[in-house]
Amino acid sequence: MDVIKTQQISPRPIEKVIVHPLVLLSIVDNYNRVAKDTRKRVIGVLLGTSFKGTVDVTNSYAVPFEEDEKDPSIWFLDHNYHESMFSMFKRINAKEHVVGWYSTGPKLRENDLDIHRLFHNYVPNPVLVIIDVQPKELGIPTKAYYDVEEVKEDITLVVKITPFSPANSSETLA
Amino acid sequence: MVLEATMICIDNSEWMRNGDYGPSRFQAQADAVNLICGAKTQSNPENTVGVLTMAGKGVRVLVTPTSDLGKILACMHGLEIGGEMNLAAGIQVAQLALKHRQNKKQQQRIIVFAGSPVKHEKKTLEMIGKKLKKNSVTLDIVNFGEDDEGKTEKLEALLAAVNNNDTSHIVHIPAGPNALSDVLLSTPIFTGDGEGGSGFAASAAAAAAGGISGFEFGVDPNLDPELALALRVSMEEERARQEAAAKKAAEESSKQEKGGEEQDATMTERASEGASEADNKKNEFLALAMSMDEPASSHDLQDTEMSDAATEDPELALALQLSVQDSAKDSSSQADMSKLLADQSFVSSILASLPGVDPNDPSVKEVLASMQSQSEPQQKQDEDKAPKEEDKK
Repeated sequence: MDVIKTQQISPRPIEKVIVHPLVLLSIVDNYNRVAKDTRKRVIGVLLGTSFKGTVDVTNSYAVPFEEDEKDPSIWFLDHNYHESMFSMFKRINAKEHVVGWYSTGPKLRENDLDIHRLFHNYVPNPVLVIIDVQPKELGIPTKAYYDVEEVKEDITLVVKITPFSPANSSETLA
Repeated sequence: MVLEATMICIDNSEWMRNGDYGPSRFQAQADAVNLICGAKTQSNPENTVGVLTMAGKGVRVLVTPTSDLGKILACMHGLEIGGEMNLAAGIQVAQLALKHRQNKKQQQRIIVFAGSPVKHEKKTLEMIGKKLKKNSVTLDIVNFGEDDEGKTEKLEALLAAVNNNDTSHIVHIPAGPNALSDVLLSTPIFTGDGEGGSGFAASAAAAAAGGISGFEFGVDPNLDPELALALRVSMEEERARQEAAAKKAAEESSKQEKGGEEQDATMTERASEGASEADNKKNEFLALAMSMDEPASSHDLQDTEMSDAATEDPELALALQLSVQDSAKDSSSQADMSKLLADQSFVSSILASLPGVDPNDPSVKEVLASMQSQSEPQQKQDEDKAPKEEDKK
């Protein structure tokens, strides 16, 4: 409990995101069963631990998600499902917390910022990981993002999603 | 008992601060939502209800369709008012939420509370309506609050686009003394699609009807039957007395100024106000008896009697005062009236029919005795007065 509290009080800026293979497998499997030949994407929650600026993503699950293709501002994510699911996961491994969420992309979309804001309710600095389920080239199929608030010249607050530098996102192989 | 999944779209825009409904529009809406949730879950235990807000930062789903009433009621707390309502987005998100309902057999329904002006085009709304119809989603619209140009038309157009076999409804609720939820109870939104109001709705309607507003005398007959009965009898008696007084006044109008009639009416009015409680039943009757018996007495007589009566009962004094102001009255009709009153059996029968007045009560007996004794000298007095009045005139 103490670890969480210090995290919440002073969220340390994340420098590294490590994605474990189980996560990749379950995401790809889910995508193949649900949205394989469609243009729809799958969204889910990432569980793991965060320690000294490094996030270890160890588990994940998909959540019911719908969005309107024509109007990106219309979307629905079942957060009741997420809350129930997370409380059950917590029973088997109390150390796993919500660290962020994932999307099968393949690229960033307009409503990602809104969805990211929703996850601020569950974790102080959530991480978005875009998993490329149909990679064309060899390489790391993940891209990690986080959000920053910037004050522009005309004193407006802007929230942007920016990627971690590629060198800092890594993947462990079994 | 239709198996339904319902999404309720709440308007929490700035327009909901207005207080023309209930404590505030938002509160009235919240009460209505609670009522609907209760009714839906009671009519079929497998029904699910979800809630989302349309204004504020954007459309936000507060709770996805669930049959847990506690969760729904809990999420209604701490809602903030602000922003503008986005009707189109709200309905579309509600539709998406319904798509993910757990039991695919449930009928999809959206209930929208449209309190603020609708800024979408009619065409947009119609397209949304068609999409809903295609996905067999029924829509109920509660039109309340702001009523700007075109809002009703747009909502009607939306309803027409969605409606399929009259399963969708729209209700217009103008501001008024009745609570929003009470008015909703009688609408098809509650009574369902011809399934008839389930036990919940029916009992809630009965409770609301027996409630404070709109009920005669402001007393629920279920709570206090004796009081209600007493009030009703008193009302009827008052009416009878007013009719008699009116008849008398009609006769007198040729002889007297109109002022007398008005005073008669005001006297009966005031007497009836005072007698709105069962306790004052006796006093009313006494006032009636006294006023009838002493209509045209001379001023001296009246003064002494008034001073006696004034110490006991201020209302009585008032009644006497008013009757004093009626200077000339038709003694013959008075005599008839007093004869009637003097008739012991008649009087006791009236008294017996009055609840709360026991004919064997000593004070009542006193009055009867005094009336009887007065009736005899009264007739003599009337005869005396008649020549006196003529002298005065």
